[in-house]
Amino acid sequence: MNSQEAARVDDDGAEEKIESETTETQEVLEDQAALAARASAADVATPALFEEFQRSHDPRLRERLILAHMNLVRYLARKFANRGEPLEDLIQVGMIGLINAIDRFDPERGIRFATYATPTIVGEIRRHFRDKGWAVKVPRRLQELSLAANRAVDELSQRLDRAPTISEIAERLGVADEEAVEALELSDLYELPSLDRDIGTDEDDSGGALADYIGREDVEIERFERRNRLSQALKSLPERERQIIELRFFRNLSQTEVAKRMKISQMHVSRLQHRALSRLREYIRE
Amino acid sequence: MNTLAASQIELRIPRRPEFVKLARCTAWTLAAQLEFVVSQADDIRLAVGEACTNAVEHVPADACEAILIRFLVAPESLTIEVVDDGPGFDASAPPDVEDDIGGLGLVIIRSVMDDVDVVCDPKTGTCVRMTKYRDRQ
Repeated sequence: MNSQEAARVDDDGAEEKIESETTETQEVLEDQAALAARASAADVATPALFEEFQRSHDPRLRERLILAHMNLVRYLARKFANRGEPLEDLIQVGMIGLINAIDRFDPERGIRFATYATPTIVGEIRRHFRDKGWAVKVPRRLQELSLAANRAVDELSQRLDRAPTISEIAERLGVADEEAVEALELSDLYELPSLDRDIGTDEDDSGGALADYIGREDVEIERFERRNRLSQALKSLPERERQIIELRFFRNLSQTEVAKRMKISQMHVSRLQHRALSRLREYIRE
Repeated sequence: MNTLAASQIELRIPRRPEFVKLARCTAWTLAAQLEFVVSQADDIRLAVGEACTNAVEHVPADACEAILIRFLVAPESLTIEVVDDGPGFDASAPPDVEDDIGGLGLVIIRSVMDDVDVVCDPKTGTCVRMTKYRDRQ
């Protein structure tokens, strides 16, 4: 699932675009403040829920706990935006961390849930980057961005008849300012191998040459598969259930809003959501 | 490994949110120059950003005007100290990680850095000291 698909799902054009939120640091900061306010409000209501869940292991309570803490996952995932993986994917793997944390959390230990869950969620997100081959010295995407940045400087200089600013380069590349700086600095800071050369033949000694990474069969791959299971699970859900998960979790709509949009009753949304979450959980636990 | 080893770099920024980006960029560039892999440099940037944001948000507005960011370069590691060094800082009110989701900065820092210490001293202010080792990924 990606944000284009999510955008297709919605039928009124007034929706904000998920991916555009990630590009401007300032916006992100403001969003975070808003998220923080909402998330802590949600958190206040949950200690009793956790105690109840520990006793009963009622899947419906788990669902409510997941929903109550999705903002935490989004908040943390955004910290890792602009590193080359789609925000949606980070939210997905973060959700695995969240679900695991919910299952393991002991409310009697006196730690707040957000404090307890953050390392687990961040851990899943970072592992996702490693699984995707970002542990090499200079990931290929960044090498490409670096080339593109240098080309953009040339082109913009010609067109503007002066040297471009960082913002102009960033806009041209469709990335945040910081990323543009990174891309421009990169070729000076690291000795970049030619892109024509297979990255696997690079003398990179970090044990992370891309070809090694892909070719090696080991526990990493198994972990990778476990985490990929969620996105596979999402793909395998019946269309309506998938839509509901998208609208509820990734677009943060209420059940009522989803019901209106899908032209079904709120109760129906609730049932479908419940079924979808049960399926997803099965996938993860397998 | 290179001539930067064993050097110390200091950056002093006004304690305002718009300068956090400068600290982040400096941290990333230094880490890259020290030949950390990019994902480690990204982690370092995130941690420095969180520490500075903490300092910007969690200290009374009239307590101090500057944040000091000190980079200590060792052959196999980079240690960064983020200090808000103004007078009048109340050590009995350390950054409250339990406060709200925004107060999760320190938890996030601990999740991405290898060693993290927080020292609160009424004379020198609050210091978040964090280390990244080159060989730990």
